[in-house]
Amino acid sequence: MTPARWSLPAILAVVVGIGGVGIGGVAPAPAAELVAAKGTDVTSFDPGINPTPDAQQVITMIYDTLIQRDDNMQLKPGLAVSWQNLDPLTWQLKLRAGVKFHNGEPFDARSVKFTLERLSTPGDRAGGHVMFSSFGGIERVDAADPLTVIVRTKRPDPLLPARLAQTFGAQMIPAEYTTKVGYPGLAKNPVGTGPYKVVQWLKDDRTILESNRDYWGGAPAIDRVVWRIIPDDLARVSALQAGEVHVIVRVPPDQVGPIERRAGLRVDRVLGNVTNVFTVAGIKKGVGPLTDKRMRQAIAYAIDQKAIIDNLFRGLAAPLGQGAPSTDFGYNPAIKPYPYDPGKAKALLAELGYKGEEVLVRSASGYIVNDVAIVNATTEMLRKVGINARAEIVDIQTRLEMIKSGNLTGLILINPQGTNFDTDGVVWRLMGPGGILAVHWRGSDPDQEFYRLMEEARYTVDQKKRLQNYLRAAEIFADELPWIPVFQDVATFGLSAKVKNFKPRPDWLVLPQRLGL
Amino acid sequence: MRRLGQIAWALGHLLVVMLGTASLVFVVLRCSGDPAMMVAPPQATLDDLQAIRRELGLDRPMAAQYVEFLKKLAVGDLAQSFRYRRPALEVLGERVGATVQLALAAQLLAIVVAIPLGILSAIRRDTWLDAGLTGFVTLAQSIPHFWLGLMAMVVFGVYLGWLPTSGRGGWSNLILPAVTLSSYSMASLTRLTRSSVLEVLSADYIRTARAKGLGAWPILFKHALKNALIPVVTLTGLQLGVLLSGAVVVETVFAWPGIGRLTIEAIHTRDYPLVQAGVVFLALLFVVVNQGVDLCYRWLDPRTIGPGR
Repeated sequence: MTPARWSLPAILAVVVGIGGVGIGGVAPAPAAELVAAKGTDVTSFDPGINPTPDAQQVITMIYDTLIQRDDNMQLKPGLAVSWQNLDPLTWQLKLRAGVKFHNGEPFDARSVKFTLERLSTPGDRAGGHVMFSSFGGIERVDAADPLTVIVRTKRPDPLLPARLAQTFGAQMIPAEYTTKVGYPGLAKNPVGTGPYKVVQWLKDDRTILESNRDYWGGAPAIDRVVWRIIPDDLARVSALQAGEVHVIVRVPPDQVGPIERRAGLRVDRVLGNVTNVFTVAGIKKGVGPLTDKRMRQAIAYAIDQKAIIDNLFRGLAAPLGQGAPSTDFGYNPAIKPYPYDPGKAKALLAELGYKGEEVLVRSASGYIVNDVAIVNATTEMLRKVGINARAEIVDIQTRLEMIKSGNLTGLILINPQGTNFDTDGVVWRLMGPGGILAVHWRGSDPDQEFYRLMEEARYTVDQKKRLQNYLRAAEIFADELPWIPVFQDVATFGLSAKVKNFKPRPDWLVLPQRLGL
Repeated sequence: MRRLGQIAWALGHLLVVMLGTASLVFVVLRCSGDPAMMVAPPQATLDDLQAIRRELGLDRPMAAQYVEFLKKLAVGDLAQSFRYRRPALEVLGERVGATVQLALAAQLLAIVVAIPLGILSAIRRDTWLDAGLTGFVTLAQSIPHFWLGLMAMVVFGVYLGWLPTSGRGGWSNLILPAVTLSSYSMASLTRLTRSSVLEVLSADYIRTARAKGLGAWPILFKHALKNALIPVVTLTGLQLGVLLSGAVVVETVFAWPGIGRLTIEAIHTRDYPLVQAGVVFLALLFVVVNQGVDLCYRWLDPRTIGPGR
């Protein structure tokens, strides 16, 4: 056949035929179908290996955790109806009766034992899960009876209920089914107890789920949910504006106005659990002006948080004065952010005898929303009060090396987020023993008050005592400033007016089982 | 015998290119960052990261990793994706269809539009039409894909509501990404067709045809185009490679689940095996397409196989 004889219809047929074209374009959705869009897809349906917030959107629809969080992030019963300490090392969990997995397998103590034993075994010996950091503290799990589980921890673990509620991997999986098909089988054909089941997964395009009519929490009002993957921010907004999707997660700050100006659309928001701070590297090294806390305080006074929030985030962020976000246990409401006070900053610099040593303000590019702009703005603000600041944009790997290394000094932009809504999961996870920021500041050393307060809170089951410790630790933190707070994120959701009962959550989750159309 | 030699040479060439590409990607990737950070959940400690590195085989010396990589590559095994925990080739394979569909649609569109426009521009040389087309072509070549794509999305998807804004599905989903992706090659093909037709029209044999009293259309279609389109075919082939590998931006803007987007995401998340598979696959595609064009060219223009070759 010569090229001239390739007929146009034949070529067109080839073009359209490739890959199989299925779902229609702009056809209106049936009444009880919710279409939502997010930026990235799950990589597998195994809850143990999906560490991104976007992946959790779908995983939490298919699987349930023992304990859940309400819209204000308070713990509430999930597959477990109650939990209590029998002694500091022992937790007793009472399970919900009559719950079944999607395939009919009953949910009981065996499922819990199977799941928790997997998560407390290093990942390389248990299907490659990455949750050992949360569950490695579990010593043994026993089924006292089909609806009672006893969990014994190696050390007292006040955070166990929070761990069991985390949407990063704490979901219960079916023992019998998983044993039969293996973890890769579960990852491919997920079976949970959740309000929805997967019907079709077109990777990086869409996941189609249908409701579980037998859901223990009541059958969802929305029968079908389509999670579309739209990586580009503006494309996601366009899909909402064109009426193709009902909900989008993460509205870029500059698109909030255009969405809200359009009839039938709105943006719901709530303070999120992500903080943006400059971690001060190399304080302990004892060289350079940053080792003096007055210098760090001068920097905090010199940073105009409001200007950054208003100009770079269109007001969609909140000022921050401590390490933990306001959503987390241990947040100290009495501590206010350092006010923008260039005069005070200059006075402090004079007092400590700052001689114009260079202060590097570093970040990777594109790692955190507006990171380069934040670094540039901060650098200018520091220069304005007389600090010889220089912005340096590095690649992600260099950034990580700098964060881990105790040999460098300077400010590095980071955005810590906890998964357990507790100060431990944000501050001490990074600065405590084994944390990647533990090398920079004396507060991370065992002979320090800060260390004692944080370690005690980590291993004390008395929540009142823990709170006291955290409140005091937050005061030390705000005075010493091993991190210089910049702002706390706001979680944003773009919505069609058709969506009923939506409540924005600080953990960014959309729970379709609670919505109506 | 000579033909066999040529095939052997082409295969050898292919192997060297593939091995070079794979090795380069292997080394560069390992200088680019730590995949464990990307696989780990937010609460991971340094010990957890080390455990993940051990599991992914990243704790061994680079030379040992390289030898194993080569051994596996030799049998066509491009290892497991770190994030998907499935063979990288399998993950990649699921996306080939979308990329090929988009590239072919864009290519087809470019050819169907560019060749008539190029001819028109040549035969109406130095008229307002020619000037207008040249201006249009320059514009199409200079507008970046991401901007054109977003504008097309906002106009045709949001304001007019004629087409879906993004995603893969029916015919209508293909239009905006294909038009966007084809813009550059459409423009280059139009320019090349124009200049090539102009060159041929001034050749001696065309003058002879005119002198014989042949009309303008028979001269154009029977004599001129055959020769004028030889370089166009070459460029078309080469651009197919570019379209297949260069759809990254368009795939991202239009949420098109193709290889380009997969590879970019794999780069962002330091999914070494997947990046390796993606790059090796695209390099293979490029080499094969180029070799194909080479063969085509010899066949269309027998002069290139001259007596001494």
